[in-house]
Amino acid sequence: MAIMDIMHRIGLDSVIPLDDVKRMDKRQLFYQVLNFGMIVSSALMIWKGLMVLTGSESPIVVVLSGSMEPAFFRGDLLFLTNVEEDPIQVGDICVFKIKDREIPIVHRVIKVHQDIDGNVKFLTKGDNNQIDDRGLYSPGQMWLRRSDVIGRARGFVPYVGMVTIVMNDYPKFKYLVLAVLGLFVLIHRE
Amino acid sequence: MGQFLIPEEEWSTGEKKKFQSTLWDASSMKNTLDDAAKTIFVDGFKYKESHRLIDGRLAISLLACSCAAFALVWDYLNPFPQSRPVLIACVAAYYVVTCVLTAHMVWWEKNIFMRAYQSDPAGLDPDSVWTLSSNLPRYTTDYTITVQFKDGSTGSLNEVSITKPMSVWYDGTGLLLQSQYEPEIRKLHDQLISKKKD
Repeated sequence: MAIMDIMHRIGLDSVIPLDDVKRMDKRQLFYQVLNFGMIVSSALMIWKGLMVLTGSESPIVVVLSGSMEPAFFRGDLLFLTNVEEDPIQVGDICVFKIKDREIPIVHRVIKVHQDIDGNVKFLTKGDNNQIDDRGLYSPGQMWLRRSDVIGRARGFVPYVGMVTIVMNDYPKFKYLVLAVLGLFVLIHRE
Repeated sequence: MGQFLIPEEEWSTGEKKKFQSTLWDASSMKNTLDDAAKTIFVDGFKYKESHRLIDGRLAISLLACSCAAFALVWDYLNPFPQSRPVLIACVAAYYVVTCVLTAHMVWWEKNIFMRAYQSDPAGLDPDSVWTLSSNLPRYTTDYTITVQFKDGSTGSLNEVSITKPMSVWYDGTGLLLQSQYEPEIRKLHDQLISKKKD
């Protein structure tokens, strides 16, 4: 195969063991690709399963700023649930998304209003911020609705999220790590 | 014709050594032994290889990956809360298919890495079936290869196996020695042929 010849020419096959791969027939090669696919699929299914279990579209988020110190620091990993029946109360730490913005925000609810029909609106503020979040909301928006909330923080793991932050700051590093891992899965035979 | 079934150029000389494995890597050496035994039976004795077992595994894996891909696409087209029932179905299906795959590998395939058919020269009886399986326990170098022969005409099942430390068949660079390995495999094959005649 052409890829094998190139790798042999640059001497890469002394670093990466390619003997097994050279000997593989079509079916075994297809199985290697499927093996890789199965690993990706398992990760995907675990993620979707968590989504269904917690009811949240993003059951695990990383804290990106220091606006909730000393409760949460940048790089903490948060586990969320989004049970519709539980009312949002003052003091809950909510993760919400502003319309048309990608990045979720993790702040605490400081005011809750409810009208006769049961519709709720609330105001949030980061513990470490001087002012409430009205400056962060969409222009003209004064309150958040239940539908803006992705979930409430139920547990956390410190520091682990730093890996995600580094990967997002240096996307080339992320692609390199993924490519190397992918290559090893494809080449290694049971 | 030389003393070997497989031409020497194909086995060990030339730039692309076919049965070269990575020294010290037990799974690489086991795979090389398996592949060499398979080559002896399929290319040497010219039996017809059956791909049923691995095709079964490929089909089940493909089904599992399709479940995951379907969930991904559906969730992308219908954002989360709406896609909930479909996601539940896909995750459950994926789990079931993965269990089926494990069952297939443990009970159906076991340690079998090759199955081949030997057709009756007279064309009268159904094919005889040769099955090769091998085992290399963790932390040892003792490789066991088992050859099983199912006679097409009588239906009787016979098997022989041999267990040896892998080092007797390899040289210092990790190259499988044809002079050591091929005669062993042929001996197992011939033992079963002679049992059949009894």
